[in-house]
Amino acid sequence: MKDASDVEIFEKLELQVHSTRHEIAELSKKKPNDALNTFKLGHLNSLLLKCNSLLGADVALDGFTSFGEDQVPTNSDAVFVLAHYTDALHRFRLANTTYFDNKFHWLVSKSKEKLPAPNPAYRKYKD
Amino acid sequence: MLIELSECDEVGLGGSHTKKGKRIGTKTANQVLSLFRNVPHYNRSGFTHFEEIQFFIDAIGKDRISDMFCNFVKSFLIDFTIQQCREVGIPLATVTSDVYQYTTNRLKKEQVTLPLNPETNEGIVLVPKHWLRYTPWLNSDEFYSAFVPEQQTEIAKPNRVLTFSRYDFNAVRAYVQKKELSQNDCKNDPLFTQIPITSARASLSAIKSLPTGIKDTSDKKYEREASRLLASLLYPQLDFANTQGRTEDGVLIRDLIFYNNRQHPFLTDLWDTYHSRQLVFELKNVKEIERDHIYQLNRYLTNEFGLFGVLLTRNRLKSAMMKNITQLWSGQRRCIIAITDEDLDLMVTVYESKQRHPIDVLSMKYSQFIANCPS
Repeated sequence: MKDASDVEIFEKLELQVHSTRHEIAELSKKKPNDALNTFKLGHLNSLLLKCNSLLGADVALDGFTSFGEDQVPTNSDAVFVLAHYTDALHRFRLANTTYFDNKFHWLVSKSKEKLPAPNPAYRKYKD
Repeated sequence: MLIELSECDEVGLGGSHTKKGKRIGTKTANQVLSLFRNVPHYNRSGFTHFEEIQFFIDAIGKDRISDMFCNFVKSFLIDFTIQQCREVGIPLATVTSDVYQYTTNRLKKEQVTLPLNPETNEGIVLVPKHWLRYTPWLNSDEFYSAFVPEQQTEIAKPNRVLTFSRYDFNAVRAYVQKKELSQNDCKNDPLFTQIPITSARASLSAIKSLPTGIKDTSDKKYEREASRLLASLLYPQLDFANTQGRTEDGVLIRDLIFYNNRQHPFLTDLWDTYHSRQLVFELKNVKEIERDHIYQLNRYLTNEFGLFGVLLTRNRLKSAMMKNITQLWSGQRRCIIAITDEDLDLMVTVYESKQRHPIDVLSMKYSQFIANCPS
């Protein structure tokens, strides 16, 4: 990550992925084979595309970028994909934080100031 | 006699999956007769509209009313059926049927000529289309919501409402008079309504449990279930037009035809790309699709059907057959996609949840097919 704004984007995206996964997982518990409606599918796809551009080479799921507009993914399909993206985002967090002087800090290339980071373990997705 | 009149299997009106219905019991029949004792107006003048029975008796609903009516006018309906069948050349056979006699007020068994249901070998009686309505003009839902005082409906027990009707006959009278005055508004409803969600699942289960092939007329049953299911699943984006029979190599093939109203981007795409003004679905209750099946549909893709067709079959196509339809696309730009039991299952799930349109599944299959075609 380059600077504090990248950190902000990442934090926001991670929260969005977590809440989306949580909501769809709830739906999936009741009806795993139900199709996602077009509204949810559109939002999910835009979220996945943002994640792809942030994660870069560290792809969450080989050969997958987003659901096609013509596809009819089910709730369980979406949870499966989001689980991989949550893990990938957590790996990204671990790779971009460091523990120094009894505190966690973000590794940012353009800023000389140390940006404090939360303990990554506390930000791991919990069901 | 009321019990005998309470079902009319030959006409088959109602919401049940099959055309067989259960007759009312002695208890309900006695309840109907007790109305003549409890309501002085009926005792003096009888029923002007016998739909009024449903406001007093719990077990009598719109299905019973239509069945009783059909039994009373069965003699006319039989004549109408014979006339219509002769006009269009439907074969008739002699069957025995109970017909109501106006002179004696009795049901009498008569030998009549009617068309036969090929599956059950039972007679079929036709009803003029302009008589049909989804609900009777006098119906209990409207009566309860508009003419029963709120304190009665709050108690919300149907029995209380029925008791109310019995002791406050004026409310029934006022409702009937109001409906009589507005009788000009009584028009027949559109005939097609989607099947209920539970029936869609039942229809799918019936399809899945059918063996492939023609044993025990399973091909006919498959055609019947698949056509009613698809007509409902794809409505309103695709308007069901007809089942159309044609003979090829001495075998009757039945297809489903839908009008393409371009009510979905996918359908507009089919209209523009393949010139499909109508969509044809060919039904194949076979274990494996073979080359001939694909060619049969391919030969059919002309004129109004454009160059797009759907094969409705039981199992996924083998890779050799997939290659075959891909070659048809590559060589002649004709597109044939296969819909299997799995896809029907997904369509029904989508239909149940109402999160997407079942036609999106068709669109998805098309996209998958195009993605596999050479560019």
